[in-house]
Amino acid sequence: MVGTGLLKGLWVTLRHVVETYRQDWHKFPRRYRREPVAVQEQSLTGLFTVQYPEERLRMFPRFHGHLIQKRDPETGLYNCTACKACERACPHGVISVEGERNPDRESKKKMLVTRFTWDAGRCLYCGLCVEACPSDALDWGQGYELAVDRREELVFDFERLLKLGEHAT
Amino acid sequence: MLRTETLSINVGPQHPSTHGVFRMLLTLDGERVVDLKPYFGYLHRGIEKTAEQRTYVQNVPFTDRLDYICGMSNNLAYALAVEKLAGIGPIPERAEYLRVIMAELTRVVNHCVAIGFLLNDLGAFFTPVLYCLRQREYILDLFEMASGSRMTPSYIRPGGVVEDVPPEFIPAAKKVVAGLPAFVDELDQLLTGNEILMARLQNVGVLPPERAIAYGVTGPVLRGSGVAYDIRRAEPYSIYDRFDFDVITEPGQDAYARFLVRLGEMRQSARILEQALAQIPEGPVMAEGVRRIRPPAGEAYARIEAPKGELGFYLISDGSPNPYRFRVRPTSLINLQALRDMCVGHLVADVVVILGSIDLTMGEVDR
Repeated sequence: MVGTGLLKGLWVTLRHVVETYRQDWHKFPRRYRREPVAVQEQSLTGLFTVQYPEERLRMFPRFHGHLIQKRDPETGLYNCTACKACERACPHGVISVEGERNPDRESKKKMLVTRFTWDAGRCLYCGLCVEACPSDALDWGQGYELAVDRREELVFDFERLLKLGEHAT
Repeated sequence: MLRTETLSINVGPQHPSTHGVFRMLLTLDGERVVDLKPYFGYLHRGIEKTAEQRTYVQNVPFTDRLDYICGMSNNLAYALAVEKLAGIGPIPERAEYLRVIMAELTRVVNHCVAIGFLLNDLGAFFTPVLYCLRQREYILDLFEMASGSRMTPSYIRPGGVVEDVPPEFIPAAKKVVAGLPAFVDELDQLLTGNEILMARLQNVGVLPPERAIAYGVTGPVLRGSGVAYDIRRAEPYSIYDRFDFDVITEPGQDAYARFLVRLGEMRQSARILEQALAQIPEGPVMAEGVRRIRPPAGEAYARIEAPKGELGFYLISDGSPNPYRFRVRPTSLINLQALRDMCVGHLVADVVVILGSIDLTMGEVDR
Protein backbone atom coordinates (compact mmCIF):
# COMPACT_ATOMS: atom_id res chain seq x y z
CA MET A 1 0.00 0.00 0.00
CA VAL A 2 1.31 3.43 -0.85
CA GLY A 3 2.31 5.39 2.21
CA THR A 4 3.11 2.54 4.60
CA GLY A 5 6.85 3.06 4.13
CA LEU A 6 6.50 6.73 4.98
CA LEU A 7 4.43 5.99 8.08
CA LYS A 8 6.90 3.38 9.29
CA GLY A 9 9.75 5.89 8.94
CA LEU A 10 7.81 8.63 10.69
CA TRP A 11 7.08 6.26 13.56
CA VAL A 12 10.85 5.77 14.07
CA THR A 13 11.47 9.52 14.15
CA LEU A 14 8.57 10.12 16.51
CA ARG A 15 9.88 7.48 18.89
CA HIS A 16 13.28 9.17 18.91
CA VAL A 17 11.82 12.62 19.57
CA VAL A 18 9.79 11.37 22.55
CA GLU A 19 12.73 9.40 23.97
CA THR A 20 15.05 12.38 23.68
CA TYR A 21 12.80 14.68 25.68
CA ARG A 22 12.12 11.97 28.24
CA GLN A 23 15.83 11.35 28.84
CA ASP A 24 16.66 15.05 28.92
CA TRP A 25 14.12 15.38 31.71
CA HIS A 26 15.70 12.49 33.62
CA LYS A 27 19.17 14.02 33.41
CA PHE A 28 17.98 17.55 33.96
CA PRO A 29 20.01 19.02 36.83
CA ARG A 30 23.12 16.89 36.20
CA ARG A 31 23.41 17.94 32.59
CA TYR A 32 24.12 21.55 33.31
CA ARG A 33 26.91 21.19 35.87
CA ARG A 34 30.53 21.65 34.88
CA GLU A 35 32.01 18.23 35.33
CA PRO A 36 33.41 15.65 32.92
CA VAL A 37 30.94 12.95 32.01
CA ALA A 38 32.10 9.53 31.00
CA VAL A 39 31.53 8.28 27.49
CA GLN A 40 27.86 7.53 27.19
CA GLU A 41 26.22 4.16 27.32
CA GLN A 42 25.10 2.74 24.04
CA SER A 43 21.39 2.90 23.45
CA LEU A 44 19.42 3.10 20.28
CA THR A 45 17.06 5.71 21.61
CA GLY A 46 17.38 8.95 23.41
CA LEU A 47 20.16 11.40 23.96
CA PHE A 48 23.64 11.36 22.61
CA THR A 49 24.65 15.01 22.59
CA VAL A 50 26.87 16.50 25.27
CA GLN A 51 26.00 19.95 26.57
CA TYR A 52 29.47 21.39 26.04
CA PRO A 53 30.86 23.38 27.90
CA GLU A 54 28.62 22.48 30.85
CA GLU A 55 29.10 18.78 30.22
CA ARG A 56 32.50 17.51 29.13
CA LEU A 57 33.57 14.12 27.91
CA ARG A 58 36.26 12.30 29.81
CA MET A 59 38.98 11.55 27.30
CA PHE A 60 40.49 8.12 26.84
CA PRO A 61 43.96 7.64 28.38
CA ARG A 62 45.52 7.30 24.92
CA PHE A 63 43.85 10.42 23.55
CA HIS A 64 46.17 12.51 21.38
CA GLY A 65 45.54 15.97 22.78
CA HIS A 66 48.82 17.82 22.89
CA LEU A 67 52.38 16.87 23.69
CA ILE A 68 53.75 17.14 27.21
CA GLN A 69 57.24 16.89 28.67
CA LYS A 70 57.46 14.78 31.81
CA ARG A 71 59.59 15.26 34.91
CA ASP A 72 61.02 12.62 37.18
CA PRO A 73 58.66 12.67 40.19
CA GLU A 74 61.52 12.04 42.67
CA THR A 75 64.22 14.46 41.57
CA GLY A 76 62.04 16.98 39.76
CA LEU A 77 64.45 16.98 36.81
CA TYR A 78 63.03 16.71 33.34
CA ASN A 79 63.38 13.35 31.63
CA CYS A 80 64.35 14.69 28.21
CA THR A 81 67.95 13.94 27.24
CA ALA A 82 67.95 15.88 23.94
CA CYS A 83 68.63 12.66 22.03
CA LYS A 84 66.64 13.93 19.04
CA ALA A 85 64.83 10.61 18.52
CA CYS A 86 61.50 12.47 18.30
CA GLU A 87 62.93 14.95 15.82
CA ARG A 88 64.06 12.13 13.55
CA ALA A 89 60.80 10.18 13.89
CA CYS A 90 58.54 13.09 12.99
CA PRO A 91 57.19 12.85 9.42
CA HIS A 92 56.69 16.60 9.11
CA GLY A 93 59.61 17.96 11.08
CA VAL A 94 57.46 19.87 13.56
CA ILE A 95 59.73 19.09 16.50
CA SER A 96 63.18 20.60 16.77
CA VAL A 97 65.55 19.86 19.63
CA GLU A 98 68.89 21.35 20.59
CA GLY A 99 70.92 20.28 23.56
CA GLU A 100 74.33 20.79 25.13
CA ARG A 101 76.57 18.92 27.56
CA ASN A 102 75.91 19.83 31.17
CA PRO A 103 78.90 21.89 32.44
CA ASP A 104 78.17 20.62 35.96
CA ARG A 105 79.98 17.25 35.80
CA GLU A 106 78.63 15.98 39.15
CA SER A 107 74.99 16.38 38.11
CA LYS A 108 72.91 13.34 37.13
CA LYS A 109 71.78 15.13 33.98
CA LYS A 110 74.40 14.68 31.30
CA MET A 111 72.60 16.69 28.61
CA LEU A 112 70.65 19.92 28.98
CA VAL A 113 67.91 20.95 26.59
CA THR A 114 68.66 24.41 25.23
CA ARG A 115 65.79 24.58 22.77
CA PHE A 116 62.76 22.37 22.19
CA THR A 117 59.89 23.51 20.02
CA TRP A 118 56.77 21.77 18.87
CA ASP A 119 54.71 23.41 16.13
CA ALA A 120 51.15 22.31 16.93
CA GLY A 121 49.80 24.00 13.82
CA ARG A 122 51.67 21.67 11.48
CA CYS A 123 51.52 18.55 13.66
CA LEU A 124 49.87 15.40 12.29
CA TYR A 125 49.11 14.08 15.79
CA CYS A 126 50.31 10.65 14.69
CA GLY A 127 52.28 9.86 17.84
CA LEU A 128 55.47 8.60 16.17
CA CYS A 129 57.53 10.95 18.37
CA VAL A 130 56.01 9.58 21.57
CA GLU A 131 56.69 6.01 20.39
CA ALA A 132 60.27 6.92 19.55
CA CYS A 133 61.08 8.52 22.91
CA PRO A 134 63.49 6.19 24.74
CA SER A 135 63.52 8.03 28.09
CA ASP A 136 59.79 8.39 28.87
CA ALA A 137 59.94 12.14 28.49
CA LEU A 138 57.52 12.94 25.68
CA ASP A 139 53.91 11.91 26.12
CA TRP A 140 50.39 12.87 25.19
CA GLY A 141 48.28 15.18 27.32
CA GLN A 142 44.53 15.06 27.55
CA GLY A 143 43.79 18.70 26.81
CA TYR A 144 41.78 19.59 23.74
CA GLU A 145 40.98 23.28 24.14
CA LEU A 146 44.06 24.48 22.26
CA ALA A 147 42.69 27.41 20.28
CA VAL A 148 44.90 30.49 20.32
CA ASP A 149 44.62 33.98 18.89
CA ARG A 150 47.85 34.16 16.94
CA ARG A 151 49.69 31.61 14.87
CA GLU A 152 52.99 32.12 16.74
CA GLU A 153 51.35 30.86 19.93
CA LEU A 154 50.93 27.46 18.30
CA VAL A 155 54.67 26.90 18.59
CA PHE A 156 55.13 25.39 22.05
CA ASP A 157 58.53 25.79 23.72
CA PHE A 158 60.10 23.55 26.36
CA GLU A 159 58.87 25.44 29.43
CA ARG A 160 55.30 25.44 28.16
CA LEU A 161 55.42 21.69 27.50
CA LEU A 162 56.83 21.04 30.98
CA LYS A 163 54.05 23.12 32.46
CA LEU A 164 51.46 21.15 30.50
CA GLY A 165 53.10 18.00 31.84
CA GLU A 166 52.63 19.18 35.43
CA HIS A 167 48.97 19.83 34.75
CA ALA A 168 48.54 16.39 33.24
CA THR A 169 49.86 14.45 36.22
CA MET B 1 9.69 26.66 -34.90
CA LEU B 2 11.08 26.66 -31.34
CA ARG B 3 14.86 26.84 -31.17
CA THR B 4 16.54 25.45 -28.04
CA GLU B 5 20.14 25.77 -26.90
CA THR B 6 22.14 23.78 -24.44
CA LEU B 7 23.33 25.46 -21.29
CA SER B 8 26.60 24.83 -19.47
CA ILE B 9 26.73 25.19 -15.72
CA ASN B 10 29.32 24.43 -13.09
CA VAL B 11 28.36 22.44 -10.02
CA GLY B 12 31.09 23.07 -7.48
CA PRO B 13 33.90 23.34 -6.52
CA GLN B 14 32.21 24.65 -3.38
CA HIS B 15 28.87 22.93 -3.45
CA PRO B 16 27.27 21.19 -0.51
CA SER B 17 26.44 18.06 -2.45
CA THR B 18 29.78 17.40 -4.15
CA HIS B 19 31.29 15.72 -1.06
CA GLY B 20 34.38 17.87 -0.97
CA VAL B 21 36.02 20.22 -3.43
CA PHE B 22 34.93 18.80 -6.75
CA ARG B 23 33.51 20.45 -9.87
CA MET B 24 31.23 19.05 -12.52
CA LEU B 25 30.67 20.89 -15.79
CA LEU B 26 27.13 20.00 -16.81
CA THR B 27 25.74 20.59 -20.26
CA LEU B 28 21.98 20.79 -20.00
CA ASP B 29 19.15 20.66 -22.44
CA GLY B 30 16.38 22.07 -20.32
CA GLU B 31 16.54 19.91 -17.20
CA ARG B 32 18.18 16.93 -18.92
CA VAL B 33 21.90 16.28 -18.66
CA VAL B 34 23.49 16.01 -22.10
CA ASP B 35 27.09 15.86 -21.00
CA LEU B 36 29.09 15.87 -17.79
CA LYS B 37 32.75 16.54 -17.23
CA PRO B 38 34.25 16.02 -13.79
CA TYR B 39 37.08 18.33 -12.77
CA PHE B 40 39.11 17.43 -9.73
CA GLY B 41 42.48 18.19 -8.23
CA TYR B 42 41.38 20.90 -5.83
CA LEU B 43 42.50 18.82 -2.86
CA HIS B 44 45.77 17.61 -4.36
CA ARG B 45 48.41 17.52 -1.64
CA GLY B 46 51.10 15.54 -3.44
CA ILE B 47 51.03 12.70 -0.95
CA GLU B 48 52.50 10.19 -3.41
CA LYS B 49 55.52 12.39 -4.09
CA THR B 50 55.95 13.49 -0.48
CA ALA B 51 55.98 9.86 0.59
CA GLU B 52 59.16 9.28 -1.40
CA GLN B 53 61.05 11.46 1.07
CA ARG B 54 59.72 9.71 4.19
CA THR B 55 60.57 6.36 5.70
CA TYR B 56 58.14 3.47 5.48
CA VAL B 57 56.79 4.00 8.99
CA GLN B 58 56.57 7.77 8.59
CA ASN B 59 54.25 7.24 5.63
CA VAL B 60 51.59 5.55 7.74
CA PRO B 61 50.04 8.86 8.92
CA PHE B 62 49.81 9.99 5.30
CA THR B 63 47.70 6.98 4.39
CA ASP B 64 45.15 8.03 7.01
CA ARG B 65 44.59 11.18 5.08
CA LEU B 66 43.81 9.59 1.73
CA ASP B 67 40.30 8.42 2.45
CA TYR B 68 39.76 10.20 5.71
CA ILE B 69 36.49 8.43 6.48
CA CYS B 70 38.20 5.04 6.72
CA GLY B 71 41.71 5.55 7.99
CA MET B 72 42.09 2.04 9.38
CA SER B 73 41.49 0.37 6.01
CA ASN B 74 44.11 2.56 4.37
CA ASN B 75 46.59 1.66 7.10
CA LEU B 76 45.87 -2.01 6.53
CA ALA B 77 46.40 -1.86 2.77
CA TYR B 78 49.67 0.03 3.18
CA ALA B 79 50.90 -2.30 5.92
CA LEU B 80 50.21 -5.33 3.72
CA ALA B 81 52.14 -3.74 0.85
CA VAL B 82 55.16 -2.98 3.04
CA GLU B 83 55.10 -6.46 4.56
CA LYS B 84 55.06 -7.99 1.09
CA LEU B 85 57.90 -5.74 -0.03
CA ALA B 86 60.11 -6.24 3.02
CA GLY B 87 59.18 -9.87 3.66
CA ILE B 88 57.98 -9.16 7.19
CA GLY B 89 56.15 -12.00 8.80
CA PRO B 90 54.49 -13.97 10.12
CA ILE B 91 52.19 -11.44 11.74
CA PRO B 92 51.09 -12.47 15.27
CA GLU B 93 47.59 -13.93 15.51
CA ARG B 94 46.24 -11.27 17.83
CA ALA B 95 47.41 -8.53 15.50
CA GLU B 96 45.68 -10.21 12.56
CA TYR B 97 42.43 -10.36 14.50
CA LEU B 98 42.73 -6.75 15.60
CA ARG B 99 43.32 -5.75 11.99
CA VAL B 100 40.17 -7.53 10.84
CA ILE B 101 38.15 -6.01 13.69
CA MET B 102 39.35 -2.51 12.87
CA ALA B 103 38.84 -2.94 9.13
CA GLU B 104 35.29 -4.19 9.57
CA LEU B 105 34.42 -1.45 12.04
CA THR B 106 35.70 0.98 9.43
CA ARG B 107 33.38 -0.57 6.87
CA VAL B 108 30.41 0.09 9.15
CA VAL B 109 31.60 3.68 9.70
CA ASN B 110 31.94 4.26 5.98
CA HIS B 111 28.55 2.83 5.08
CA CYS B 112 26.91 4.84 7.87
CA VAL B 113 28.39 8.00 6.39
CA ALA B 114 27.57 6.96 2.81
CA ILE B 115 23.92 6.20 3.55
CA GLY B 116 23.50 9.23 5.78
CA PHE B 117 24.86 11.71 3.29
CA LEU B 118 23.07 10.07 0.36
CA LEU B 119 19.83 10.82 2.19
CA ASN B 120 21.06 14.34 2.88
CA ASP B 121 21.58 14.78 -0.85
CA LEU B 122 18.04 13.57 -1.42
CA GLY B 123 16.72 16.33 0.80
CA ALA B 124 15.97 14.28 3.90
CA PHE B 125 17.81 16.88 5.89
CA PHE B 126 19.73 15.58 8.88
CA THR B 127 17.40 13.01 10.41
CA PRO B 128 18.91 9.91 8.74
CA VAL B 129 22.42 11.34 8.79
CA LEU B 130 22.12 12.09 12.48
CA TYR B 131 21.12 8.53 13.31
CA CYS B 132 24.00 7.24 11.18
CA LEU B 133 26.55 9.58 12.68
CA ARG B 134 25.48 8.60 16.17
CA GLN B 135 26.27 4.97 15.41
CA ARG B 136 29.54 6.06 13.84
CA GLU B 137 30.38 7.90 17.03
CA TYR B 138 30.29 4.72 19.09
CA ILE B 139 32.78 3.12 16.70
CA LEU B 140 35.01 6.19 16.61
CA ASP B 141 35.11 5.98 20.41
CA LEU B 142 36.53 2.49 20.02
CA PHE B 143 39.16 3.79 17.60
CA GLU B 144 40.07 6.54 20.02
CA MET B 145 40.32 4.06 22.86
CA ALA B 146 42.74 1.91 20.86
CA SER B 147 44.81 4.47 18.98
CA GLY B 148 44.19 7.90 20.49
CA SER B 149 42.63 9.43 17.39
CA ARG B 150 39.18 9.21 15.94
CA MET B 151 39.69 9.59 12.23
CA THR B 152 43.44 9.46 11.65
CA PRO B 153 44.42 6.49 13.80
CA SER B 154 47.75 5.33 12.22
CA TYR B 155 47.04 2.19 14.23
CA ILE B 156 47.85 -0.63 11.83
CA ARG B 157 51.57 -0.61 11.09
CA PRO B 158 53.85 -2.76 8.97
CA GLY B 159 54.43 -5.83 11.16
CA GLY B 160 51.26 -5.74 13.21
CA VAL B 161 49.49 -3.01 15.13
CA VAL B 162 51.16 -0.24 17.06
CA GLU B 163 50.16 -1.40 20.54
CA ASP B 164 47.72 -3.80 22.11
CA VAL B 165 44.20 -2.55 22.74
CA PRO B 166 43.38 -1.60 26.34
CA PRO B 167 41.63 -4.35 28.34
CA GLU B 168 38.28 -2.55 28.25
CA PHE B 169 38.31 -2.51 24.44
CA ILE B 170 37.03 -6.02 23.73
CA PRO B 171 33.96 -5.79 26.04
CA ALA B 172 33.17 -2.32 24.66
CA ALA B 173 33.52 -3.55 21.09
CA LYS B 174 31.28 -6.54 21.80
CA LYS B 175 28.64 -4.18 23.11
CA VAL B 176 28.81 -1.95 20.04
CA VAL B 177 28.69 -4.95 17.71
CA ALA B 178 25.73 -6.42 19.58
CA GLY B 179 23.87 -3.16 18.97
CA LEU B 180 24.69 -3.06 15.26
CA PRO B 181 21.96 -5.36 13.88
CA ALA B 182 19.29 -3.39 15.76
CA PHE B 183 20.69 -0.18 14.30
CA VAL B 184 20.64 -1.56 10.76
CA ASP B 185 17.08 -2.80 11.30
CA GLU B 186 16.03 0.63 12.45
CA LEU B 187 17.66 2.24 9.42
CA ASP B 188 15.92 -0.35 7.28
CA GLN B 189 12.59 0.49 8.85
CA LEU B 190 13.20 4.20 8.50
CA LEU B 191 14.33 4.20 4.89
CA THR B 192 14.04 1.07 2.77
CA GLY B 193 10.31 1.03 2.16
CA ASN B 194 9.99 4.80 1.92
CA GLU B 195 8.06 5.73 -1.22
CA ILE B 196 9.92 9.00 -1.78
CA LEU B 197 13.27 7.28 -1.49
CA MET B 198 12.22 4.57 -3.93
CA ALA B 199 10.90 7.12 -6.41
CA ARG B 200 14.12 9.07 -6.27
CA LEU B 201 16.58 6.14 -6.31
CA GLN B 202 15.06 3.40 -8.42
CA ASN B 203 16.11 3.43 -12.09
CA VAL B 204 18.45 6.34 -11.40
CA GLY B 205 22.11 6.00 -12.29
CA VAL B 206 21.79 2.63 -13.95
CA LEU B 207 25.17 0.98 -14.50
CA PRO B 208 24.97 -2.35 -16.36
CA PRO B 209 27.43 -4.99 -15.12
CA GLU B 210 29.47 -5.05 -18.33
CA ARG B 211 29.95 -1.27 -18.21
CA ALA B 212 30.87 -1.47 -14.53
CA ILE B 213 33.52 -4.10 -15.21
CA ALA B 214 34.82 -2.13 -18.20
CA TYR B 215 35.29 0.95 -16.02
CA GLY B 216 37.05 -1.05 -13.32
CA VAL B 217 34.47 -0.02 -10.74
CA THR B 218 34.68 -1.97 -7.48
CA GLY B 219 33.00 -2.16 -4.12
CA PRO B 220 29.30 -1.58 -3.41
CA VAL B 221 28.86 0.10 -6.80
CA LEU B 222 29.97 -3.05 -8.61
CA ARG B 223 28.01 -5.36 -6.33
CA GLY B 224 24.97 -3.13 -6.78
CA SER B 225 25.23 -3.98 -10.48
CA GLY B 226 24.92 -7.66 -9.63
CA VAL B 227 28.57 -8.73 -9.88
CA ALA B 228 29.60 -10.86 -6.89
CA TYR B 229 33.19 -9.66 -6.64
CA ASP B 230 34.73 -9.09 -3.25
CA ILE B 231 38.49 -9.27 -2.69
CA ARG B 232 37.88 -10.72 0.77
CA ARG B 233 36.55 -13.77 -1.12
CA ALA B 234 38.34 -13.56 -4.47
CA GLU B 235 41.83 -13.21 -2.99
CA PRO B 236 41.64 -13.50 0.80
CA TYR B 237 44.20 -11.35 2.61
CA SER B 238 44.98 -11.26 6.32
CA ILE B 239 42.71 -13.93 7.90
CA TYR B 240 39.48 -13.32 6.04
CA ASP B 241 39.35 -16.94 4.86
CA ARG B 242 38.46 -17.98 8.43
CA PHE B 243 35.23 -16.06 8.68
CA ASP B 244 31.79 -16.94 7.52
CA PHE B 245 30.07 -14.12 5.62
CA ASP B 246 28.09 -13.54 2.45
CA VAL B 247 28.98 -11.32 -0.47
CA ILE B 248 25.95 -9.07 -0.88
CA THR B 249 24.78 -8.39 -4.41
CA GLU B 250 21.65 -6.72 -5.74
CA PRO B 251 20.37 -7.15 -9.29
CA GLY B 252 18.96 -3.61 -9.50
CA GLN B 253 22.02 -1.87 -11.06
CA ASP B 254 20.69 1.50 -9.84
CA ALA B 255 21.27 3.82 -6.90
CA TYR B 256 18.68 1.94 -4.84
CA ALA B 257 20.60 -1.31 -5.30
CA ARG B 258 23.78 0.35 -4.06
CA PHE B 259 21.92 1.60 -1.01
CA LEU B 260 20.65 -1.91 -0.29
CA VAL B 261 24.13 -3.40 -0.75
CA ARG B 262 25.51 -1.00 1.85
CA LEU B 263 22.79 -1.92 4.32
CA GLY B 264 23.47 -5.62 3.75
CA GLU B 265 27.22 -5.20 4.10
CA MET B 266 26.76 -3.58 7.49
CA ARG B 267 24.93 -6.72 8.61
CA GLN B 268 27.70 -8.93 7.21
CA SER B 269 30.36 -6.82 8.93
CA ALA B 270 28.52 -7.33 12.20
CA ARG B 271 28.66 -11.09 11.56
CA ILE B 272 32.42 -11.02 10.90
CA LEU B 273 32.96 -8.84 13.96
CA GLU B 274 31.02 -11.21 16.20
CA GLN B 275 33.17 -14.13 15.06
CA ALA B 276 36.42 -12.20 15.32
CA LEU B 277 35.66 -10.84 18.79
CA ALA B 278 34.75 -14.32 20.02
CA GLN B 279 37.89 -15.95 18.62
CA ILE B 280 40.55 -13.32 19.33
CA PRO B 281 43.55 -14.93 21.09
CA GLU B 282 46.01 -13.40 23.53
CA GLY B 283 49.60 -12.75 22.54
CA PRO B 284 51.99 -10.23 21.03
CA VAL B 285 50.76 -7.70 18.50
CA MET B 286 53.96 -6.85 16.63
CA ALA B 287 56.17 -9.15 14.56
CA GLU B 288 59.76 -9.61 15.73
CA GLY B 289 62.46 -7.21 14.59
CA VAL B 290 60.64 -4.53 12.61
CA ARG B 291 62.21 -1.47 14.20
CA ARG B 292 63.95 -0.19 11.06
CA ILE B 293 62.31 -1.18 7.80
CA ARG B 294 64.78 -1.29 4.91
CA PRO B 295 63.34 -3.57 2.21
CA PRO B 296 65.50 -5.10 -0.52
CA ALA B 297 65.21 -3.61 -4.00
CA GLY B 298 62.01 -4.74 -5.65
CA GLU B 299 58.35 -3.96 -5.97
CA ALA B 300 55.12 -5.05 -4.38
CA TYR B 301 51.41 -4.48 -4.85
CA ALA B 302 48.92 -5.32 -2.14
CA ARG B 303 45.19 -4.76 -2.30
CA ILE B 304 42.29 -5.03 0.06
CA GLU B 305 38.55 -4.70 -0.09
CA ALA B 306 38.24 -1.25 1.41
CA PRO B 307 34.71 -0.08 2.24
CA LYS B 308 34.51 1.78 -1.07
CA GLY B 309 36.11 -0.91 -3.21
CA GLU B 310 39.54 -2.14 -4.16
CA LEU B 311 42.29 -0.15 -2.50
CA GLY B 312 45.83 -0.98 -3.52
CA PHE B 313 49.30 0.27 -2.75
CA TYR B 314 52.14 -0.18 -5.21
CA LEU B 315 55.58 0.32 -3.75
CA ILE B 316 59.00 0.19 -5.38
CA SER B 317 62.08 -0.02 -3.21
CA ASP B 318 65.65 0.73 -4.22
CA GLY B 319 67.07 -0.64 -0.99
CA SER B 320 67.02 2.67 0.88
CA PRO B 321 64.85 3.42 3.94
CA ASN B 322 62.47 5.48 1.76
CA PRO B 323 60.23 4.10 -0.98
CA TYR B 324 61.45 4.87 -4.49
CA ARG B 325 57.87 5.03 -5.75
CA PHE B 326 54.68 5.17 -3.76
CA ARG B 327 51.53 4.75 -5.75
CA VAL B 328 47.95 4.43 -4.56
CA ARG B 329 45.24 2.70 -6.51
CA PRO B 330 42.44 4.91 -5.23
CA THR B 331 38.96 3.50 -5.06
CA SER B 332 37.04 6.74 -5.35
CA LEU B 333 38.89 8.02 -8.43
CA ILE B 334 38.19 4.87 -10.43
CA ASN B 335 34.57 4.66 -9.29
CA LEU B 336 34.20 8.30 -10.34
CA GLN B 337 34.95 7.40 -13.97
CA ALA B 338 31.52 5.83 -14.33
CA LEU B 339 29.77 9.06 -13.31
CA ARG B 340 29.21 10.41 -16.83
CA ASP B 341 27.70 7.17 -18.07
CA MET B 342 25.30 7.06 -15.17
CA CYS B 343 24.22 10.70 -15.37
CA VAL B 344 23.61 11.36 -19.07
CA GLY B 345 19.89 11.47 -19.78
CA HIS B 346 18.87 12.11 -16.19
CA LEU B 347 17.61 15.29 -14.57
CA VAL B 348 19.95 17.74 -12.78
CA ALA B 349 18.52 16.77 -9.41
CA ASP B 350 19.48 13.14 -10.06
CA VAL B 351 23.14 14.00 -10.67
CA VAL B 352 23.51 14.87 -7.02
CA VAL B 353 21.91 11.59 -5.98
CA ILE B 354 24.07 9.54 -8.34
CA LEU B 355 27.20 11.22 -7.02
CA GLY B 356 26.07 10.41 -3.50
CA SER B 357 25.37 6.79 -4.40
CA ILE B 358 28.92 6.30 -5.71
CA ASP B 359 30.24 7.46 -2.32
CA LEU B 360 33.36 9.51 -3.01
CA THR B 361 35.96 10.96 -0.73
CA MET B 362 37.84 13.73 -2.45
CA GLY B 363 40.90 13.18 -0.30
CA GLU B 364 41.35 9.89 -2.07
CA VAL B 365 40.51 11.15 -5.56
CA ASP B 366 43.11 13.93 -5.49
CA ARG B 367 45.61 12.55 -2.98
